[in-house]
Amino acid sequence: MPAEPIVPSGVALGTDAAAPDAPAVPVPVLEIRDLSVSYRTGHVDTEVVHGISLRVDPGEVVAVVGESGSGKTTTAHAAIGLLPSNGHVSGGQILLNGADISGWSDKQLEAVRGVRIGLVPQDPSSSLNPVKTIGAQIGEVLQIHRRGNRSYTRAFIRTRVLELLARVGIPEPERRSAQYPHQLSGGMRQRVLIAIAIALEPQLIIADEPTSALDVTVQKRVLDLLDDLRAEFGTAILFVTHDLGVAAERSSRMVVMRSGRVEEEGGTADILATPRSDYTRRLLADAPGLTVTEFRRPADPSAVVPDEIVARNLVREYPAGKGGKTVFRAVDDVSFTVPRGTTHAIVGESGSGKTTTVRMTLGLVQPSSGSVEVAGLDPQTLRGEALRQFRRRIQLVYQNPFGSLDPRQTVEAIVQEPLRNFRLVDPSARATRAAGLIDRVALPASVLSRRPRELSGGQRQRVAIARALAADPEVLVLDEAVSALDVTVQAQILGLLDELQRELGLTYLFVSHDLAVVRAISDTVSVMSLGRVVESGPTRTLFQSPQHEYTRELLAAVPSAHAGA
Amino acid sequence: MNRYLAGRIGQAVLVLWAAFTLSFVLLQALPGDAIMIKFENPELGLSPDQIAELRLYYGADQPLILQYFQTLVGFLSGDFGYSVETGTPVIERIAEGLPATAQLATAAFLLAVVLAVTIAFVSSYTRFAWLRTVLLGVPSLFVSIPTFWLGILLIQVFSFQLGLVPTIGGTDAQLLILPVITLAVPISAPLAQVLCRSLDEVYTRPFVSVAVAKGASRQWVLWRHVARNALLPTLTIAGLTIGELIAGSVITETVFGRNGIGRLTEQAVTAQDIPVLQAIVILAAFVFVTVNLLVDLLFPILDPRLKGRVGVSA
Repeated sequence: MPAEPIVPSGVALGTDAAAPDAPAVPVPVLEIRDLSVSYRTGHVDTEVVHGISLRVDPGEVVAVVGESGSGKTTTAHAAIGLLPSNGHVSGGQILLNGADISGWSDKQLEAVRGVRIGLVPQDPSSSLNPVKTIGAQIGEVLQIHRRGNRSYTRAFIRTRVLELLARVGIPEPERRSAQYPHQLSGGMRQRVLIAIAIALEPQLIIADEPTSALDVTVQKRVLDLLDDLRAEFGTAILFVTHDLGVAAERSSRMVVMRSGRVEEEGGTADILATPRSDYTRRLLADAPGLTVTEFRRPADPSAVVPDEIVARNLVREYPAGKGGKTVFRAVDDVSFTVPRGTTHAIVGESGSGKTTTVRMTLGLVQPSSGSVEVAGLDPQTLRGEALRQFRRRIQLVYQNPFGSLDPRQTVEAIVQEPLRNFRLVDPSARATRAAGLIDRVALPASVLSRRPRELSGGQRQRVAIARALAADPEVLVLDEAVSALDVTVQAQILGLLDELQRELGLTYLFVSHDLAVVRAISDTVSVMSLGRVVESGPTRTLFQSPQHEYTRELLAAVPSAHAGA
Repeated sequence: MNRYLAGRIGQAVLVLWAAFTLSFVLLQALPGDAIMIKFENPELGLSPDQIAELRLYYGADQPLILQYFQTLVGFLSGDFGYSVETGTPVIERIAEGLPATAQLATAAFLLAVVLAVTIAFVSSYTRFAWLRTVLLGVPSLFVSIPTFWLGILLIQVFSFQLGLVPTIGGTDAQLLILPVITLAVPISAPLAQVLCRSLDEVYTRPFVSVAVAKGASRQWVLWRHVARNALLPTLTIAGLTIGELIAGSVITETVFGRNGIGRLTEQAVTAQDIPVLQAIVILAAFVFVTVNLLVDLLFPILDPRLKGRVGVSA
């Protein structure tokens, strides 16, 4: 489609900054000077962003990277006036094309939002209104800014919506525009949100973790789309991300934030090659996609290790279609074995069947056919007390450390629960054992009396691991157990898991979509796609010479710093 | 969809049958007997033989199970029997009271909705924190006001002291004002509470930020994004308040001396007029079940996610 001007003439687009013969020092699209942001709780103001400065030039991609709590999202939201009602700019300036918008009223900001700044939000699944059609939500941007633009007729908006849907790569725009968000996949929803952001061709797009919730291959396509649009319209992008790999691959300049301050700023290639601050160095070292991690030492081939988990031809079908007349194979003939004391990773994107496979291994879902054996026991054949005892031997650590801990229990009660349920130790010895477990996962004894909400994400995941260990299991199933954590914390948890495995001889079944993490922790890998295992083998072989096309696609989609390598 | 509809209607019928059976058993288990109360009065001077004859006439001597089936068949064919107290057909007594109660309940429900929506939207839209605090306290106050007390208070203040509204001898509309307020206030409370909470909850969802980022004004966001999403949980509660509406009308009509189903209920209870009570229970259950069935059918129209919930569940 030719890149004809989308916005009809007469729409104020601000200065024409993207002109080819712009002056040597262009007016930045966005310049933040000494910005401080505070949140008010009760009558106390807490400053979370302390005097940060950054600039985004026309057509440039600037990445703001940092861990959770670094203030990166707050900064981005302040730039578009989207701070929550208890937050306010307590100092500094936000210049949009040279005009300070930090003191603007809502009315003034409304004229800028959507027109000059677009937002691509973090979570595509909750960022679209569930009761409005896709088309209506894209057309809304034009409707809102219709005042003064007589040309935005109903028919015009409809045509524009279809054009935009086609532009962001959504097939059958006609049909899709009449659909509701729940009828679209995560990747498609993010495309719709991008269409909303670019509808009026703003000069700046603020992308707040736009791909964190997406699978790697989908992430790659969405990032490619943003790149194309930037090239086509000269839109500048302020890219907020926790993923250094993505930042390294996609940005020209990088701002590293930590605890509300700018830790380091500069050209992306420079920062990757010669980071000046210690913090940046640590971040880079912990980022699994950027450092060339050693593969796990191969298991001693001479040692004869029995298989702890044996899955044979697992199949799970669900009724599908109208009235359940057809069947859908969520898991289709999956086999794998895991030798005792090793880690087997199941890799796949959403809908690949990896979770169903794991649930069958745990005995939570009955296979339609096939069998699974853990420590010589098939959960299908067990009933009652035997099944309960089986569950003790195979414990689960979930992805979300926020949802998997009971918010009303203290950490001590959480860790003691398996001890109580399985009567593993004397009631009098429970407290000692719980303290021992908390110590084992390298948490201070003081956390025992606290509740989950008082802990950080990494600490909660350690508590979840301690709880799993309390049952004295032989197998740990780690379902995306480090996916929700910051890289530094992720590296620490992976280190802890490795240590625990060596010491206790545990067997891990590690489910992940993140190949970089899998590479660091697993001995063997199965790659799943559409319910089937497309390729499996030792981690090193699989990563160095992938045989299946899908594996190659997955590996290629992992963001990495081509520039810095 | 048709299967869903058939299933829901089937459930509704089942509920009605259960309500009928349960009320039949309970009413029969009550000590005393309307026939005894009415005819054993010494002033009538009836002999025990005559009373036994009357019992035969009303079918009270038959085994319970037979009475149960006879009553059930009668209800199914639209024959609700005769009032023991007045001797007129039950259907006539209900038909007399129904219009007044329908008027009262409908008006009260509408007023309750208006009150709840006003409280919730103003508290959510206002920029004044103190107003919000005050408004959010209103539902808790409303829910704790007893209906009979509010009725008496309103009569005292508005009719007797201020003389604004007549309690006797006004037009139909005038006579409706105070009862409607009395009935609406406690019903508006749960609606307002749920609506306030869902408005607050919807405001925190990311799609609201996206709408603001599009340049939408506060009104735009409230009406086009937040309102419809916040309506869904409130609708469920609205369906459930029908029960309170029916219960509240008994007290309201008694306090204001209106001749409606509520008043009839009160009289029938006093006289232990079992056929009338039985019919009222079924009527109330029917209204309740029908309204909630309609609410359920409305959901898929308001929330497209509930439409055609068939597919892969993996």
